[in-house]
Amino acid sequence: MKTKGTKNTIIFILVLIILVVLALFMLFPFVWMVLGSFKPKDELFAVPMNLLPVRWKYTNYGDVFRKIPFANYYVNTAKIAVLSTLGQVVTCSLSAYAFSKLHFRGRDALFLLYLGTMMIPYQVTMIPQYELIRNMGLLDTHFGLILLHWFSPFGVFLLRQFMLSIPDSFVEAARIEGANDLRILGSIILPLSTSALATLVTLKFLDSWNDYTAPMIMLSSKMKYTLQLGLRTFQQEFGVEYTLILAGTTMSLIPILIIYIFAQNYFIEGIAAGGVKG
Amino acid sequence: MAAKKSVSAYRKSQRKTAILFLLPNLVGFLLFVVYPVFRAAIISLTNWNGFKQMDFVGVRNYVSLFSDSTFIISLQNTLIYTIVTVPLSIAFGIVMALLMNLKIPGIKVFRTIYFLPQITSMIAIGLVWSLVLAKYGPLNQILMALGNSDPPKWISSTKYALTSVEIVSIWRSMGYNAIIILAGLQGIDAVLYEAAKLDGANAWQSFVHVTIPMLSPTIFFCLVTQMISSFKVFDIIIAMTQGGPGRATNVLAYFVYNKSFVDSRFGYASAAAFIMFAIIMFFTAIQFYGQKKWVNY
Amino acid sequence: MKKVLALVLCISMLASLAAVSFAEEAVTLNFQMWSDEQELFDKLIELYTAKHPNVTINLTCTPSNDYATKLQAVVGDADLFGISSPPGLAEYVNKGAVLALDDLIAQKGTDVSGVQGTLDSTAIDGKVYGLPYKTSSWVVYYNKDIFDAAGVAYPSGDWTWEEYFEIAGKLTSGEGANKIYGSLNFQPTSMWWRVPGNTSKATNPINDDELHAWMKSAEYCKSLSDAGYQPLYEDMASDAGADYSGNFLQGKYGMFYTGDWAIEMLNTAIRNGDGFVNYDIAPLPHWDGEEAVTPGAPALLMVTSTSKHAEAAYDFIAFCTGAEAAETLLSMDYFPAWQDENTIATYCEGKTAPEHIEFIVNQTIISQVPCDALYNPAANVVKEEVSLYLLDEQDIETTEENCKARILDEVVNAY
Repeated sequence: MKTKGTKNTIIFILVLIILVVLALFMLFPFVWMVLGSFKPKDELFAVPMNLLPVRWKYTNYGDVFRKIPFANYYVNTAKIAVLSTLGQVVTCSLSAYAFSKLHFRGRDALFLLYLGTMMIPYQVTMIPQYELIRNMGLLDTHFGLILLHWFSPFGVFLLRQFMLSIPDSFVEAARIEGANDLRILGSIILPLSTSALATLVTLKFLDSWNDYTAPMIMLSSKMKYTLQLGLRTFQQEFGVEYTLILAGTTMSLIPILIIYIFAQNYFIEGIAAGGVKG
Repeated sequence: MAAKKSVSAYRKSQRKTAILFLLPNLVGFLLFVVYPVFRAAIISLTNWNGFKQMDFVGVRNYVSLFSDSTFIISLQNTLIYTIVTVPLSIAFGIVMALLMNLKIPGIKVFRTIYFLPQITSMIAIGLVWSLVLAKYGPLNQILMALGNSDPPKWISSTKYALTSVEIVSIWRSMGYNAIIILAGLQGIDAVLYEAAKLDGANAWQSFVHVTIPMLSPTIFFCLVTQMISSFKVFDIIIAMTQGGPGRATNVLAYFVYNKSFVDSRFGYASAAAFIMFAIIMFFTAIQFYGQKKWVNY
Repeated sequence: MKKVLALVLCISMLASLAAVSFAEEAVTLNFQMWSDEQELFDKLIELYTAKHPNVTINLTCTPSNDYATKLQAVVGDADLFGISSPPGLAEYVNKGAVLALDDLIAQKGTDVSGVQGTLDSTAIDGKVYGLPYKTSSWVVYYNKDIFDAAGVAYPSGDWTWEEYFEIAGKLTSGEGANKIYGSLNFQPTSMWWRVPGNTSKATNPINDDELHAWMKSAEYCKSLSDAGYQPLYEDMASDAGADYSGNFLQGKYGMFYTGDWAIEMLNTAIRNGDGFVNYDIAPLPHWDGEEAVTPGAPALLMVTSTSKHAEAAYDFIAFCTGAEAAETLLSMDYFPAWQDENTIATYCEGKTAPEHIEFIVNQTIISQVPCDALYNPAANVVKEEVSLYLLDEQDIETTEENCKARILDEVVNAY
C-alpha cells in the first residue's frame, strides 16, 4: 500500500510539473503583451529582451482612450458579439438537430454543402458578400455584421457532432411518450449538450469579438467601428504604435476572459447538471 | 405492409420537421454563404479586375495556375504546413484536454491559462514570437546552453521559416482543440470507466479502449475543422513572415490575397481558391468515408 | 476653327455657370481615405463645407494597412478617394474607375500652377486623373550625441553614399548589448534598401537598367551590414525591424534615412516620454558623380468615374490641392503639394526640432514611384527575391535574374 502511495505521489508531482511548464509556455506571450503595454516605445524591442519595463509607462492606457473612442468601440463590439452568438446558437442548434436526429433524403449531401463552404477562403467571397450586403441596404450597420455570423457552418457542424453521440434511444423514448421534436430538442438534447453549447458560445463570442476583416469592409462611420478596427488605426502608414496596440488589446481581452471563466463551469458540469449521469 | 406504410408516413413527417428545423439557418446560409461562393465560382471563369472588366475566359485561369511557380510553391507550403500542424495540434490538444480534465485543486487556473493563446491578439503573438525566435532570442539561448553551437535562424531563413510558423500555429491551436475535446470528454459516461476497471484495465488501457473510441466524434470534428483552417492559414503568416523570406512561407490564402488585392486579378485568385477547395474537399471526403472505420457514434 | 473654339469656350462657360447653380442643391459625397489622414481631412472638410453648406462629405477612414483591400471593394460606391502614391492611381485608372479631370480643370479655371510638376509626373496618356494634396521626401536623421562621442562632424550639406558608408564606420563602436551602430536598417521585407538606387533615378524595376541600379543599391545596403556598421538583416526580420522610430529612440544608432514623416513621429515620441534622442537631419546623400536629388511621392485625390456628383467632388479636391488648403496642411506639419515661396517659408517657420528643418524643402525632389499599374506587382516580386539576398541565401546575380524572369512571367505577361 505504501509503495502505491509513493507511486501516486510521484505521478502527481510529475503531472503538476507538466501542468506548470505548459502553463508557462502558454502564458509567456500574454505576459509579454501585458508588460509590453507598460513600456515606453524605445524599450519594446530593446536587445537583449527585457520582460519587465525599466521605466513603467502607465500613460499608454490613457493615450488609447485619447486617440480613439475606445469606450464606444467597446459597446459596439460587445453588442455585435452578444447578438451574433445568441442568434447563432439558436439557428445552429435547430439545424444540428435536423442533421443528427431526423432522417430525410439528401441529408448528407446538404451537410457536405455546409462543410464545402468552409473550404473557400474568405479573400474571394469578401467582395461578393460586400455587394450583397450593400444591395440589401445593410452597409454600415451592425445588424449586417450580426447577420453574417448567424449562419456559420462551423456551429452546425460542432453541435451536430455532439448530438450524434447522444443515443437515439433517448429521442425514440420521448417520441413514444408523445413529445414533439421541438420539445425533445429543448428538454432532452440541449440540456445534454450544455458542454458543447458552452464551447460554441465561447469560441463564437471570441470569433466575433476578434473579427476584423468583415467590419473593416462593411463599416464606414467612425462611431460604429469595433475594437479591432479601432486598434488597427495604430498601425499607420509609416510606423506602428505597438505599445498602444498592446495596451488596447489588453483592455479588450478582459470580457473574453470573463466569458471563458464563466463558461468553464459548463464545460465540466454540463452533463452532470443535465441529470443523466449514472 | 401496415408497418411499412407507417414507417414511410413517419419518414414523411420527419422530412417536414427537418425542413422547419433547417429553415432558419438554411435561408441565411444560402444567401450569405452559398451565394458569395457561387459568385466567386463564376468570377473564377473571368478576368475580372475588381471593377468593370469582366470577360469570360473559360478555364484559362485554372490552366495558367499550374505553370505559375508562386502558386506551386504556395501549394507545397500549404500541404507541408497542414500535414505537420493538424496531427500535432490535435495530439497535443488531447493531452492538454486530459490535463484540463484533472480533478485537482486550482485546475481552473490552469484551464484559464491554457486558453490564453486563443485570446491574445495575433499582432501581439506575431511580435512576441518573432522576438522569441530571434537569433539571440530566448529560444536559441536555451539551444546554445544545451550545446547547439549553431542554432537555426528561424524566421529569417528559408529553411526554418515554415517550421517557425508551424510551431506558433501548433502552440496556438492546441488550446482551441483542447477546449472542444474537453467538452467531448465530459460526454463520456463514467459507468464505462468503472466497467473497464472491473475488467482489470489499467489507466492506459481504459484510455485506449474507452476514452479514444468515445471521443472519436469530437476528434473527427477537430480533424476536419483543423484541416480546413490549416489549408486556409493566413493571419499568422501576415503577422509573422508576410510569406517570406522569399516565398518560403507563401501559402495558398496568402497567394489568393496577393493576386486579388495587390495585383487586381480577381478571376485568377478565385480560380486558385477553387483549386484549393477541390483539394480540401478531396481530403475531407476521404475522412468522411474513413470515419466509418474508427468513429464511434 | 477659331470660331468653333470660341463656341466651345462659350458653351463650357455656360456649363460652368449652370454647374454653379446646380451645386447649390444638397449633395452628399462618399469619400474614402486611410486612417492616418483622418484629422487632416476632418479639418479640410470643415473648412470647405463652411463655405459650401449644401455639400455633405461622408469621410470613411480605413486602417492604413488594409486601405488597399477596402478600396477594391468600395471604389464603385465612392465619389472620391485618396491614394498614397502614383502606382495606385495608375492601377485605378487602368480599371476605368477614375475620371479624367482635364475638362473640369479647364472649365472651372482651377489654378494648378503650384502643383504643375506633380500633375506632369502623374499624367497618364497625357491626361490628369488625380490632384495631389501633400508630398513627402527623404532625408537622413542622425543622432548628434553619437557623432559628438565619435568626434565626427555633422553632415551639413551635399554628401555622397560613399561618405555615408565611411561615417557609419567611424560611428560604429562597442560590442554585444552596448554596441553602437553607425547606421540603422529596416526589416528585409521592407523595400527601403532601394532608396540609394532611387537617387540615381531608378524607380521602376520593370526596366532592366533600373532594376540593375536597384541591385547595386541592395548590395550597398548589405555591405553596410556585412561591415558591421548596421545590424544584420537576419536580426531585423519581422516587426522588430519595422519599428524604426522606436529603434532609433534607443540611442544606439548613428544615422538612418527615411521620409519627412519621421520628424513628427520622433517629436511626438519624445514629448510622450517614449525615449529621447538628440537628433537633427541632413539631406539624402547621392552617388559620387551624380547630382543631389531626393525621392518623393505625392498623395493624390481622385474623382470616381461612377460618381453621380462628379463636379461637386471635383470642386472639393480642387480645394484640397490649392493654396488655401496648403495653409491648413502646413499648420498640421504636413508638407503640402502646393509649393510656392510662401509655403516653403511657412513650413520652416518657428520649427526648432530638428534644427535644420530647411533641408526638407531645399532638395530637388524626383518622383520615387512611377505612375505605372504594374509597379506594385513587380515591386512585390523584387521584394521577395531581394529579401533572400539580404538574408545571405542567394547571390546578387541570381537575384537579378530571378527578378527579371519572374517579372516577365508573373507581371508583364500575366495581364
